[in-house]
Amino acid sequence: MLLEIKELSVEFQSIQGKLQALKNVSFSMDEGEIIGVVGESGSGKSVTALSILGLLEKNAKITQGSVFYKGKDVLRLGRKEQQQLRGKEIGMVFQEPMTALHPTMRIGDQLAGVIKRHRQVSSKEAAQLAIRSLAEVHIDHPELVAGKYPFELSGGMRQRVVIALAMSAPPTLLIADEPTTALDVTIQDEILKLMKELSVKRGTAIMFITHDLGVVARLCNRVIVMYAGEVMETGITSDVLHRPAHPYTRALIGALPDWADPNEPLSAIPGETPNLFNRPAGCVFADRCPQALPLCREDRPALEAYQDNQEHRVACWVR
Amino acid sequence: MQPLIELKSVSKTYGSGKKRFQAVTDINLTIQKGESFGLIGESGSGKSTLAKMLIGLEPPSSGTIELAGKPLWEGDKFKPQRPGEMQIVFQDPQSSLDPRMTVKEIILEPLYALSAGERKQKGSMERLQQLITRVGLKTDQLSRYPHEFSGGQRQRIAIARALITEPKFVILDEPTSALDVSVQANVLNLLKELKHEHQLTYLFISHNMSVIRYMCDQTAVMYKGEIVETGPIEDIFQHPRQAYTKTLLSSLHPLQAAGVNQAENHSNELSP
Repeated sequence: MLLEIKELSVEFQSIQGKLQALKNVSFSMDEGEIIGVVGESGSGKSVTALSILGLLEKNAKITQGSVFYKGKDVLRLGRKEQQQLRGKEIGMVFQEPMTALHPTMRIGDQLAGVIKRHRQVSSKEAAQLAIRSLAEVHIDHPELVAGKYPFELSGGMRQRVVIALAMSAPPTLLIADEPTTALDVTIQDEILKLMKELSVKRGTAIMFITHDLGVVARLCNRVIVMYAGEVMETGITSDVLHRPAHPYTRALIGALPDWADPNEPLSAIPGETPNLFNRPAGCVFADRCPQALPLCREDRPALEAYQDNQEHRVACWVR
Repeated sequence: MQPLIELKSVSKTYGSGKKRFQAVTDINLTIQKGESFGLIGESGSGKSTLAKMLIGLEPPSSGTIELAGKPLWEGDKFKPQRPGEMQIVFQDPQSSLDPRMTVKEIILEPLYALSAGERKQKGSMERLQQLITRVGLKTDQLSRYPHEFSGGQRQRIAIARALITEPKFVILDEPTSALDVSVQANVLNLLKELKHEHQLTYLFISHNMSVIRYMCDQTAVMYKGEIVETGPIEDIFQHPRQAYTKTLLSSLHPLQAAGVNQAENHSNELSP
């Protein structure tokens, strides 16, 4: 097992009080595996990633749980050890490629800098490796692009550069937070193909954080469905998408216009996400759930096997 | 039948000399009254430039744009027959609502383009209350400010603002692409209902093919400033002729390719 998150809970301190952003989040990843963490805004998918990386803001506090990476609890590591983990062991790609790149530094120099940090090479070798890493993310004329600044590149090209940066160590785990959301659909397609290819070629595990079930279907072996800071359902992607066990997963799939009959209204999810300052005692989805029982509002369901399938787990009383 | 909107060889060029950039090239387009016309394209394809020329924000460099047979532009001057006849809902409700105005002020603002008589009639408290309830907000929220609302609610405010002048034609420029899937479903349902209730004609701009398929009757595909394909929605989706349309469609169906469909998901159980 490469990564194991156990009962992770995170709180944010704000003027309005304590906001519980994550509650008892547990899941694991194997080496080389591509998993999708899917959810809407406020579901806690990005907070999960930032917790693993030790990049939470100062007002955030991990109140409970542990994150084991290769058997070591990364939450108990010192600042220096965490820094070594980031970049070298765990790479990151975020949504907006422009903010991830240094605006006044040439692409080649940025890459060479990262390569020198992680490997024992001379500046000259690093520059050559930088060009090679650009070629690996399928950038045409890598020597030329190495001499350019980020603003001279298109959004898709920039995201390729960011992926090249993240992969340069190369890491064992890549955490990608909505890396294709800001890109056009056809470019998105190319980036997804590239990430899959790199994962297969180098055995890099990818945690793909997204709001897009289509992306999950295309890329991920397994999926974690999150809602309001909790895991609602996990399983092999095709199991979860074909036989969604949680009413929230079903509602999310049903709300997509992809298959809807244009003459019928879309099945929207009524109500709003719960107040995370004051979490309900029972299931977080109960207030919006069409199948909720009285029990659902009293007791929080645990994540348990669905129809005896140990891989497919769901946190729901109405199974 | 006379089309509601007609574009005849419309082009738009920005800059001159070396920096000359042709954003839109020779567009011919007709939108019939009561239609939902979809405009699909990626960033930089010219779809927003087209919307700007329709709504009066940018004059076309050449060609004519007509609304109900009357030209909208006289040279560089925007001369609509009746102000408020056309409205627009923008993509990002975060930036399209003035943070210092109350919801009431925001919704009533378009009426300043109208005559005093019309303003009084359309801006009555009763009508305002009716409209705000219709888009799914409460009347006591009229005195609040945009930051007090969620993204979906803000887009509802923007929709109410677009409808206050009783327009015939509404441009929806990526109205749901900043919203979560479940919120998007609510807003799309609302837009469909309003279209029916007010006999509106929509120009629906989006890069999301499944939203276009769900919302529109007719569609045009834009690529690099040109319309590469146009026709009824089913034709474009079932029998795309252009390579570019096919590429767009192939990026659309990952869930279908994975064999997921709604029937399997027992979506009926979800209906209240």
